[in-house]
Amino acid sequence: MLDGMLAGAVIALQPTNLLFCLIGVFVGTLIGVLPGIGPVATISLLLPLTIGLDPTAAIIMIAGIYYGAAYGGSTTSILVNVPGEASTVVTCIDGHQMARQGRAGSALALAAVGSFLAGTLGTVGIATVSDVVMRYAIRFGPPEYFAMMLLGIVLVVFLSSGSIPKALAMVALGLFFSQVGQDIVTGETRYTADIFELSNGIDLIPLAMGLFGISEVLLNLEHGAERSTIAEKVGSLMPSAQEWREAAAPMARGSLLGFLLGLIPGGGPALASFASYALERRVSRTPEQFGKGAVAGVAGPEAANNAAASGSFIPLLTLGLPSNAVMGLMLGAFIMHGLTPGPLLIQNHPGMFWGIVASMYVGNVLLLILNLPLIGLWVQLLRVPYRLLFPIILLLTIVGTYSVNHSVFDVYLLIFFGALGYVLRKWAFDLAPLVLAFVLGSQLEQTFRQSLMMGRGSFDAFLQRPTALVILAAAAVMLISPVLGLVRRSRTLAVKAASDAD
Amino acid sequence: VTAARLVRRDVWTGAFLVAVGGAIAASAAAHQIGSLARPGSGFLGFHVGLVIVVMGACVLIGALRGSDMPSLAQSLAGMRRAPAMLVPMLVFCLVLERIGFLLAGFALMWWLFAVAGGGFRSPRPALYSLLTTAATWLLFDRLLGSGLPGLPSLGLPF
Repeated sequence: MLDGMLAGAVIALQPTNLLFCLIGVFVGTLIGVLPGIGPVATISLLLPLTIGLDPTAAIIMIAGIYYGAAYGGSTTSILVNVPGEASTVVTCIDGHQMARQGRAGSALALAAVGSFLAGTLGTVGIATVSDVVMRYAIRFGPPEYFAMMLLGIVLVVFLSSGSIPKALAMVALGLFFSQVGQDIVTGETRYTADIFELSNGIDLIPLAMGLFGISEVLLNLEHGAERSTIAEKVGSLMPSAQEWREAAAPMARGSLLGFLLGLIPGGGPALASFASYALERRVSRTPEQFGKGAVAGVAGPEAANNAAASGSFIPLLTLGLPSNAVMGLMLGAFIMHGLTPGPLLIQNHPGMFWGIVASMYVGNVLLLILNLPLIGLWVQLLRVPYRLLFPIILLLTIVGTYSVNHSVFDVYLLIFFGALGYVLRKWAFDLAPLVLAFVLGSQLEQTFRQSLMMGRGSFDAFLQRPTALVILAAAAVMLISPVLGLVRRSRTLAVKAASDAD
Repeated sequence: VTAARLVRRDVWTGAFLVAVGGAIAASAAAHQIGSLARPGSGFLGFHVGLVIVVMGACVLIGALRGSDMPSLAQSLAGMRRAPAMLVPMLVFCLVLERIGFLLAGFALMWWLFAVAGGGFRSPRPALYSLLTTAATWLLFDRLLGSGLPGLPSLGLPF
């Protein structure tokens, strides 16, 4: 592992890779700071631009956007009391209270240091756990992959923010969209409505950019083209000794909890930050301070969301299974560059694997170096009116979609999915299950059919393979587990607390 | 069931899901469905259609039984700006390959900046749209070679 990390560090520190890592974390922080532009929309937007790049540099940049966004979102949460990202919703509660007490600088510094420590631990975790999982996963066949994907989808449904029937309907809709085009087994064309352009299927980019990018702009415009501005001064960026002491244990707990929740399909930064906030409030000797500027309420969740961002790379890199919508796009990026993430990645492309892992540590160092000195720039950026920003977002979304296949039809699809996403979000549907099911859909169908062929038309392939059977049983247990009910309740409480704090 | 319950958001959401799921299942039935042990090309589509119908029915029944739910009108409030954004984007698609990106992009951006608050009489939206269209074309076409049709297709060798 150490040899791999050293070799990876050499690759990550090559000038080109370092430059793209810097671009990734900078763009990630930028979109994290700006409310209304999420990492899913940004990565969808930038995916077409990475086509000509070296695959390692492209993945390093996209990864940087992901964890950079979790980093940057806290700035907006603390200063404006508007979450820059879903993963920094809970930071609004105590972070903004600290800002109102004149401790914005301390809150920003604690968030940055907590994120850095968690990112560092997360990188070590990826290097350690990935190797073990890959050695085991190399023996996986279609039944195990089918079971893993099914488990992932079940978890995404039960951890989604809306109602369960609506989330299940979104999974089914995502699976349907993945079916459009040619049947992978028979070659038969299906669900194309006689539109020739659909015979090759629906591309991930117009779907994701429409559902997340366009719908986000339309939702933001409902509240007018202006947004709230910063009222507080930032103050000193050096927390007091007392604040460091109060932050140390929550940072450690948040890092560990976030990393573990990042591993779970359907988990990720948002869930990790909610869970960390709930945990810190529970273990605190002064729970009454939460909501009034508690240091632990900033340090814990901020560490947790960054650790989860790192942890969620493990299922993708080792099994080829995306655990959330961003990882689904990351899978799309790998495929666009002719690579298949999974257990063979480390064998066939060790330089790329370790280069990506090492770049995450480099990226976290860059974030720490860049972000605190650049806080003034982010503050200025928050003053850019949305009326100037959204036309540019729309134009870049259109041009980015067109550029992938030089296809106007893809732009029609983008507009269709934009309108669909807008209406679905207005009707309180969570779109993450739809995108994840879309990404996994063709693989899910393929592995299911392959498993049945292995069992000669029976379910023996599932019943006679212990790993597949255990994972399927776990998926069944998840359906009835009270633990998930508990997690959902704590998440709902955290969201409610965040909205109360607004 | 009272009239007040029928205008609840999720009654319509549920009905929408039932209709969409039914349409998906019907179109999948046109293909070979097969069995669980030997699935055909329409197998998954047919069953996801049924799942959507069942989930839609759950949402609809839940909305009819529950209390304190937003109405359809409340959930659709604020949507008036959406057509002003989406329709010009559709027009942009229709004319892109005929009049080229520079003209189509400029017109789209002028509209968006003007509707966003700049107004059509002020020179600022026109200036912003000129700058952003030119910058986007330079970035995507000249720098990244995306193949955007820059000028009108008049058979000229551009």
